[in-house]
Amino acid sequence: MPTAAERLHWSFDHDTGLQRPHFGNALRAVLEGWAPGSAHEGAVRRYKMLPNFAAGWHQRWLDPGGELGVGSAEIVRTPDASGGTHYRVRHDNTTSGEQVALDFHTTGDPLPRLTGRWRVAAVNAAGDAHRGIDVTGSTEAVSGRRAVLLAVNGVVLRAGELDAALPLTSWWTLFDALPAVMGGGSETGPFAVLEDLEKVRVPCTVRALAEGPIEVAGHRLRGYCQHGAGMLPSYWWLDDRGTACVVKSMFHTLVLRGPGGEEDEA
Amino acid sequence: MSTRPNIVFINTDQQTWDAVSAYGNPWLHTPNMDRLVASGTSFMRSYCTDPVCAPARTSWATGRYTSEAGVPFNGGHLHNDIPDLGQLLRAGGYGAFHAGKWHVEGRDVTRSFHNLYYGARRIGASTGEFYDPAITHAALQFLTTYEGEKPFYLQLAFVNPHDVCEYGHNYEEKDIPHAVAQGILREEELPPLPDNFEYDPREPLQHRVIRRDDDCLIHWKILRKTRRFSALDWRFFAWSLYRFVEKVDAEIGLVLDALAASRFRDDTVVIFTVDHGEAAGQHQMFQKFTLYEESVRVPLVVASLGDRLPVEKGRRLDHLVSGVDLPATMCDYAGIPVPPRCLGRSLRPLVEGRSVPWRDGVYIESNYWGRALVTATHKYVTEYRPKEVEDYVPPGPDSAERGLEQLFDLQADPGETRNLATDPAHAATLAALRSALVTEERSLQRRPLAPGRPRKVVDQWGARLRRRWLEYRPE
Repeated sequence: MPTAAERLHWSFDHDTGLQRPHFGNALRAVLEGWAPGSAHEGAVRRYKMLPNFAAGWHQRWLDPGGELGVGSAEIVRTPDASGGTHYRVRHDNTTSGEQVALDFHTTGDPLPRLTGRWRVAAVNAAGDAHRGIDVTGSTEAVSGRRAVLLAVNGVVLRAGELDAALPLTSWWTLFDALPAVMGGGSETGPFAVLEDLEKVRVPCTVRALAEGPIEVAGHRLRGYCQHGAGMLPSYWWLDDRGTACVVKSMFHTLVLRGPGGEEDEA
Repeated sequence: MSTRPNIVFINTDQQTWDAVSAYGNPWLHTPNMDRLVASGTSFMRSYCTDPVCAPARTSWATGRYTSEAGVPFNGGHLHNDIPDLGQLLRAGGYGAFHAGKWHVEGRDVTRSFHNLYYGARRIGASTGEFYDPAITHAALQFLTTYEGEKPFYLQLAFVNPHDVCEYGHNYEEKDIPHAVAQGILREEELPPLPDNFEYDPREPLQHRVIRRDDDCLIHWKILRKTRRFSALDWRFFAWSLYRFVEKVDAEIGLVLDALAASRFRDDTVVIFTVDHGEAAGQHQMFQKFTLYEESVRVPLVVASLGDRLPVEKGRRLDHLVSGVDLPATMCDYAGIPVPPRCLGRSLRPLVEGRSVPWRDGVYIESNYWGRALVTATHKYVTEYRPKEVEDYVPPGPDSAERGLEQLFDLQADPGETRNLATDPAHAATLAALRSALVTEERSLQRRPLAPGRPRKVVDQWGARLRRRWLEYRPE
């Protein structure tokens, strides 16, 4: 068990007796791999995905051995011709077996809004009969509201609706947009997240945590919490440059690998 | 009906009966479950056969109560000679497909069903956050590409809101400020404490050993932490449960969208239910395992998104139904014979608006020794004392000594906060229900548990219960 001095912040401290190998050591090892203050203006960010619980990682009576990790995420941003951003996100999960590639465009707003068509390509590497799926998405104006349409194998699904005035974004844009989204305040207005680019979550908000900055592995981090309908709180810890260094959802914690993400994939 | 319908069986995990916004709960929003409610017949008095994942799911698969099937707790083993629904449907000419959680211990899902998705690390109890989107993907791909000649049975077993178990584990070894202290929610955004937060401590001993004692058998670390929970902590717990429900509701929504847009819309029956409930503070408890309503009563809807099948839409029935009824219902829709000892009854006549004689009470088991009978007006709960010499045959009236009892008037006290078992004014009701439970149990063919882990669980839990009985002094 970790000592009190070794404990991480409660929002991402998963060094319970069930979690092996040591979660805190694994998290610190990633953050210690790069120097605080390093520039992150690059187009690529890579994260290691740590499991928060034994469930989904190993059975509690078995030692899983090897390195703690259930996958990785990579976010690639490039400016597009319309002043917005082209995102290519890939996240691989070795527990579910899904390797998901997201391709989408956003506006240049402080809270980047989804625009145009997007694509979700998911491969199931679990060895089951289901091998994968390819989904194309778009929105359609419907009398003051906006419908989300998904096309799968030529079948078009109406996957949800929202108020047309409400910003609709992807969870993955928050990795670099959060400082601008907060705008120096402690709480955002409501917005909508298209989770996995498939499920409309509305309303969502981000609020700054009441607690002050913390220091982990030499990095000074400030905390935020994002949640909404159908979304458990996720905790976002940003460094002084506004870079998301630790992002914790219910079951996994994404830890930034450093500028350029030089480290090898998990 | 001239042809046999397709069947989509959607289930979630650990969702209390009223965690559906269509049933009047204002603290969550489940538009897709609501859509099923509007498109079908809701069974408002539906009970699991046993309030734990593996036992409840074994009953779905076999139509047996858990003392017959060999899975009276997580860690049991389904008797090899009992057929499961996948085998029956395949033999009956259906394409039987599975995606998601299975948790029928002792039976390999990939041998009974055509396995669409079961995860890289095979799905255990939790981790819906990882698995549920992949289950949805498998379903969407299937519903938009299936070209088989056989009618299909598609079983979609979502994991959430079971992730709320890890929400509890999260508290075990650290102090987490409640949501208001975190600054992320205002107090008025949290659901209130449940009406049955205060409870009657006159509970069966097994119940206390499982869930009340300091060193309770299951999750004692969580129990100890919840004892220090403030009202706001409990309310944040319930708030979180509802977000997990909404999370899986959206997955179900995509499946329904795909089905509605597919060529199968008019010829498909959708059955939605849950394996067991979640207390989330009711009776100051978390999770399941008990025989209180929040643990054993679950949503159940039989629906059709099209208009061709005779399904009474938007209707709510108070018939007493059980998880044991699902295989008989599936077989009825599939037009195949219900196998011998499949104990449930088909819900199809009720869904089609036909009047048929129905049972007066639902029988429930829990944790090997616990028993309950629910009627339209009352619930009777009892337990067996562990045998001195264990033969590993689940206890029944012919083989074991009765323990403590509870009696609740569900009409006057739906939250089950006043145990009437020792009230002379209710002695006649108690005697009648005790007798009815014995009759129900005598109809069962209880069999010895398989050697190995199932018997080890009985040994460990039984030893603990025996010690508790030695210490017991009537109040």
